[in-house]
Amino acid sequence: MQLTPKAGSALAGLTAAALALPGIAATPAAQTELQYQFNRYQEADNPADRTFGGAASPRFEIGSHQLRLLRPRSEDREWRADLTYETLSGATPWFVTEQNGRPVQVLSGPTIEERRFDLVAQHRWYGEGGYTGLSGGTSIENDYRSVSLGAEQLRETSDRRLAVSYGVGASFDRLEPTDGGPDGRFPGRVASASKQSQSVYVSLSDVLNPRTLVQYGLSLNRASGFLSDPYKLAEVAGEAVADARPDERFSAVATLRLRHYLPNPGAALHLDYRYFRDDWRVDSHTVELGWLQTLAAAWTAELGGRYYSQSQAFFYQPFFRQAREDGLASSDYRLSPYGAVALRAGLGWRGAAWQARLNVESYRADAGLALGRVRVAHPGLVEFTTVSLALGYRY
Amino acid sequence: MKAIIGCAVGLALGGCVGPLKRAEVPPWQRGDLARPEMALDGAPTLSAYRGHVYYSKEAASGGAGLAGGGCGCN
Repeated sequence: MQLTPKAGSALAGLTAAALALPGIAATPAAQTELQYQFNRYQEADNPADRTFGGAASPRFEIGSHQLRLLRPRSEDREWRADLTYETLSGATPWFVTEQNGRPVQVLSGPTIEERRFDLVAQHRWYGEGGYTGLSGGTSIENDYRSVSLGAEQLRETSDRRLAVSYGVGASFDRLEPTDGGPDGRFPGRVASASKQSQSVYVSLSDVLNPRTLVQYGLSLNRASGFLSDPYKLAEVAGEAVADARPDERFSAVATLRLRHYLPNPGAALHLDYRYFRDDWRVDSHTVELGWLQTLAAAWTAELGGRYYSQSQAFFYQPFFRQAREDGLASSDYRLSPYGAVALRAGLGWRGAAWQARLNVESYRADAGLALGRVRVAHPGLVEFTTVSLALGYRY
Repeated sequence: MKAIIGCAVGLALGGCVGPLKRAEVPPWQRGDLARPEMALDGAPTLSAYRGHVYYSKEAASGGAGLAGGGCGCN
């Protein structure tokens, strides 16, 4: 027999809360939440034996500030906004050449100084068994502008055991690369270009038993327009040419997320898996494991690991002995075959109104970590460390 | 390294086979599921930042949600 308390009673409120799926908000937030997070990103120097000239080279560092506001407007409406401001500086991989019979990375030199501003806002309407959300966003840099739109819905069953969410999104981007065009310092660099992307997703959340929740997801994405990197070159038959990628890209992503609570240690086990596949012939697998341990009434510690592996794009080579017939060419390490491991740790405190959290993560990419065999490792694979400090307030 | 990662995932999944069984979940047995550490995304600001970093540094991107806008980082 299922209890059905009268609407409006205290028991109804408690029962509704107990019935709600964790982390799947089919009801608006009860309080306004404001959160600030500062992040510091630092890449390790590119090693001397993989850098042109034989000396280790500093790479990128980024400082970013995030502000998140979650504000219920009434019993059935809610506003969300996320604001990001970041500053980027340092050197970035430019192209790969051959030195002493091995590929070495040529970097741009510590000349990059960038600022990025990003704002995304969403309005949600809550109704019986779910919500509808409309979102819009913009990202602005000195050489790049993006506008995005999105719509999504969540619907859950009457017993709140199953929830389906689905949505569509689109993005319209404009690039005006620095020093490009016939009058620029780099005439071979495009002066302006545009690209568009569309995406659709669906996910199903399921409460398996009193201590286990699982979510399955699928998304399809299409990007078109100028998809090359205007700041990168590829060495083809001894000459440096502009990075050239297809003008269309289709991809599919399948995800699985599992959460399981272990009462004896008082901890939650997180397992996330993602499979990515696109028509550039990039396949990737991502596995994340996390352990969230309650230390005391208000303290939580987290330890986690992430493994990532990708295959190469069909038009990628560290450098090319001869031009491809289709004219495509890229030596971007992000399109090369490699694997990566990341380890992270965090400590959080949650009071009645205030909360704080500190997280650190260390990431290392290496050709030897790839699932498949890699004949030639890219000399510009990245290592980085991030530190994030967040402060939140609910009222 | 691949063998170690494979064993870790296998152990985690092996330890989860029992908990993957479907069972009745009456309202009075949902207390553990409602814990903050059981949320699919308990730190959305951190998740957004991590997602952006990985989007900038890897070929793969996306997951179970709206893709959002682009940036010059990839």
